[in-house]
Order: sequence, then C-alpha cells, then structure tokens
Amino acid sequence: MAAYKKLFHCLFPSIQNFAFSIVKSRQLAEEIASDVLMEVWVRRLKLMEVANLRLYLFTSAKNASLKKLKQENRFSPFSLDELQVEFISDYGNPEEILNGSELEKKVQEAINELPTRCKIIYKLAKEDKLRYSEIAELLEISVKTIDNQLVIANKKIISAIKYFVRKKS
Amino acid sequence: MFQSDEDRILTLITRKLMGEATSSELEELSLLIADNPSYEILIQSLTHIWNTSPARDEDFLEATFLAHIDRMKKNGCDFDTYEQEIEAKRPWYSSRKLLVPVFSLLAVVAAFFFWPRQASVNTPVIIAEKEIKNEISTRNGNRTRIQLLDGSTVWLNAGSKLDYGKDFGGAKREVYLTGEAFFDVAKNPEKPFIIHTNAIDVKVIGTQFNVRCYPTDKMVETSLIKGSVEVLVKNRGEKWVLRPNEKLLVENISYQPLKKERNVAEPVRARKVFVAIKPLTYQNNDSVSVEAAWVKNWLSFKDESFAEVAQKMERWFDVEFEFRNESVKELSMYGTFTSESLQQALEALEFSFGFKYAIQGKKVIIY
Repeated sequence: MAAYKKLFHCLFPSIQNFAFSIVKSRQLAEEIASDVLMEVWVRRLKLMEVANLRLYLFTSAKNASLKKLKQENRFSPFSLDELQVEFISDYGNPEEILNGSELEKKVQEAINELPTRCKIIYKLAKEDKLRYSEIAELLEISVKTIDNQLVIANKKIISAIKYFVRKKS
Repeated sequence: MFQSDEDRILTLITRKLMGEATSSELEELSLLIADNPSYEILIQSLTHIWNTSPARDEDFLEATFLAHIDRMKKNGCDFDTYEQEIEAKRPWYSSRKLLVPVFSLLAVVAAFFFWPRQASVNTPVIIAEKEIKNEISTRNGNRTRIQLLDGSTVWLNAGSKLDYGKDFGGAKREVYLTGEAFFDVAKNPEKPFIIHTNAIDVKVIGTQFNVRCYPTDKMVETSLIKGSVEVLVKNRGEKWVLRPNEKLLVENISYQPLKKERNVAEPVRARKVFVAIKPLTYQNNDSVSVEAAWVKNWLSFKDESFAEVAQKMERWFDVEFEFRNESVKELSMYGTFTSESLQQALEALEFSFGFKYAIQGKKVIIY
C-alpha cells in the first residue's frame, strides 16, 4: 500500500496533465488518471510483465482519453497540433542565475509561445522526465523529430535569456 | 561566433540535458563552450531552467490520493486481502521482472516525490576573531558550515575534522582535513588556500571544490566544480591540475579497512599510488553533481554498490549496517535523498530492490 501511494504521488499529476492535453477538461482528465491508476492496483500481479510501467501508464492515459472523446462525439484522430498543453506549474523557486523575476517571466513566455507540437514534447521531456524513446513511442513520432523540437524549444529559451542579458547590460 | 556553432551547442546541450549525449558529444560540447565563453552563462541558465522541478502541493496530492482510494473502494477494489497476498506471493513490487520499470520509477521517486521539502540548513558557525579555535569536527549524522575569516566557506560532512592554524588568514591560508568537505574559497591570488590531507595537498586561489578523504575509503577524491585547483600527490611527488567538472582519484595511502573486510594487500607506501582523472557524475537531470550533492543536504549516489551506499548512509544517519543477506551487497543503486528520514530512505530502496530491513536502535539489519 505504501508502494502504491508512492507510485500515485509520482505519476498522478503527470498522467492527469497528459490526459488533459487531449480531452481539454480538468474533470475528465482527473477521472481518466484515476482510472489508469486504479488499473495498476487491480492488475498489480499481471503488471510484472510490463517492461516500462511509466510509458505503459502514459499510453493507457492516451488511449482512455481518445476513447472518452469518441464517447462524447468529439473524436478526431490523435494530432499533436491539436493538443492543449499546460504545465503542472510554472517554474518558481529560482536561485542564483534566475534571480530576477523579469527573466523568469520572459522564459515562461517563450515556453508558452512554443508551437503545440514542440510544447508537448518539451513538457514530456522536461517535466515528466520521459526519455527520447518513450516520447517517440507515446506520440508516434521519430526520435529525430523529438531531438529537433527540443533544440527549437531550447533555442527560444536561450533567445529570451539573451534578450534579458542584453537589456540588463 | 558562427551561427552553426550556436546551433551545434544547442543540439549538444539538449542531448546532454536529456541524458542522451554520447561521451564524444559531451567532449565536443565542452570544447565548443571553451571556444565560445559567452555561452557558458546561457548554458548554465538553460540547465538551471531545465532542472527546476515544479513545486508540488503535497497536501493537495494527498487529498487527491484519498479521493482516489475512495473511488476505488466504490468500484469494488479490495484492500483487505492485500496483506494476505503479500504473505502468499511475496510482494508484487519485489519481483525481479519489475525491477526495470520500478527502477526508472526510483528516478521519478527521487526526482519528484522527495524533492520539494527544503533541506534544513545548519546555522553557520562564525569564527569570531577573538575566540580562535583550531579544530572543528563533526560526528556521524552531523554536518556543519564554517565561515572562515578570509571570506571562504567550508561545509564539513559527517564524521570529519578540519584543523587550521591560529594564524589562518594572516600570512597564509592553510587547513588540515580528515573526512569530507566542500570548499567555496574566496579569491586571493596573493595568498593561495592550501588543504592538507594524508595523501594529497590541494592548492587553490579561489574556486569551488570538494575533497573527500575518509580513512575508511580506498580513494581520496578531489572534485572541481569551478575554477581550477592544483593537487600535489605526496606519494608520487607529482602535481595534477584539474579542470571544472573533473575529479582526481588518488589511492588512499592510509586506507584503514573496516574490521569485517580486512584482506591485507601490499603496503601502499612501498609503491606509487594509483591516480586517475574522471568526469564528475551527474544524475540524469540534476544540475548538482553527485560528488557535491551532500552540501545541499542531498544524499546522492549513482551506480554504487549497496555496500558503498550503506557506508554513506552510516555516516549520514549515524547508524551501523549489518548485512545478513550478502547477495544484496552488490546491487547497483542510483538515487538521491533530500531530507528523508532513515526509515523513508530505506523504504524507498526496499521498494525498488525488494530486500527487507529492520531498524534496531542505531543498527540497520538487511536481509
């Protein structure tokens, strides 16, 4: 039970967030994430056969979300450009370098303005700490695309920092 | 700077942050940054942003968890048979097959679950000019921060000792160390700061680095975070210069093995000690290296055997480990603990590796 609680604490916010990007409803997303984690409990003995539990749960959330959309006649084929990406939270708590909140805001803006496709990849990589291969499987895209998109995201962030540094000096 | 340099730096740093960079790519990246020093601060900021985890609302999460459990009960999930199931089948999470997924989970556990609680920072010991002490030491389970007169700061890890002369800060800056300490040395080109240990002397002008020289460790380790240091390996009479993100490993000339594992090797003094330079170790997404993590009150290890981790934990928590199950000693472990209690730390390891433990006073029994 303690183990299950830990798993829940680790993964629930990420899974709920990912489901939200597809169904675009907080309530539905919470329900889906709860369902997915319920499955973990119900099938805990069988889950030993799953090679990558985290990816399995993200994939389950994706499938459940698409199913929900279909039930509500909102179904459209899974498209990276039609997701609504939200981060679990913005990135407060800065130290040392990121002392000024102005810079923080600039960075946050840069991230928010990323194209949807780029944003979801950045979010899964950074916030949910999924690996290249995991994102590739989940979003059905190539590792090369992920590599490129993450470079684009970091480039935008670097530009925001540069702008700030120049302005300061 | 050519545009293509920037693009290449971005590609490489992205792979590095993802933990997907090959060693030759890492090499290339540090060369590129050396060529384009203006990028260093940008890369640092980028790394910092990447490594900043969202703040977590534990109370909210706990409430969500309880609601989730409620919902499961309504859906007919049975929690009562769980205990019997453990008796009958061994816990599902201790299965070997689950080791891989759970393993990646440990990273998540470490990164997410254990993250946001702030580590308690000990109040710094300020050495007033009048009451000059010559020695500061810490017992196991204790760490402290020392503010020296010259403006340098020293963090002293558990079970360590720092000596310095009464004239410290006057004509010279010299200290003597046993155990482990992290130094943030105030810059003063006229008065180099020198750390003496049994095996090595470390000479610096102003920089951040960690020195680890416990008598019970086989290697003496000098890890450089930034700046530069010069290490004199006494036994060889050689000077080694480190670059940032490198560490120098020197065989410990006065290694005192623990009683349990005394297998007498040839005496070190009779030959030249072994020396090696290695890169610092970073956990996948941490900006703080494993070597310096303890300064942040993190107990961090990467690819270390359980036996080594146990030794770290003994000092950290002031306990003694007893292995009744020898086979788990060689398990390779990755992880970071921040402000966990001994029990929480053991629970997390138990969760991932499926051993059992018992705490009896200051003794931890692993079986």
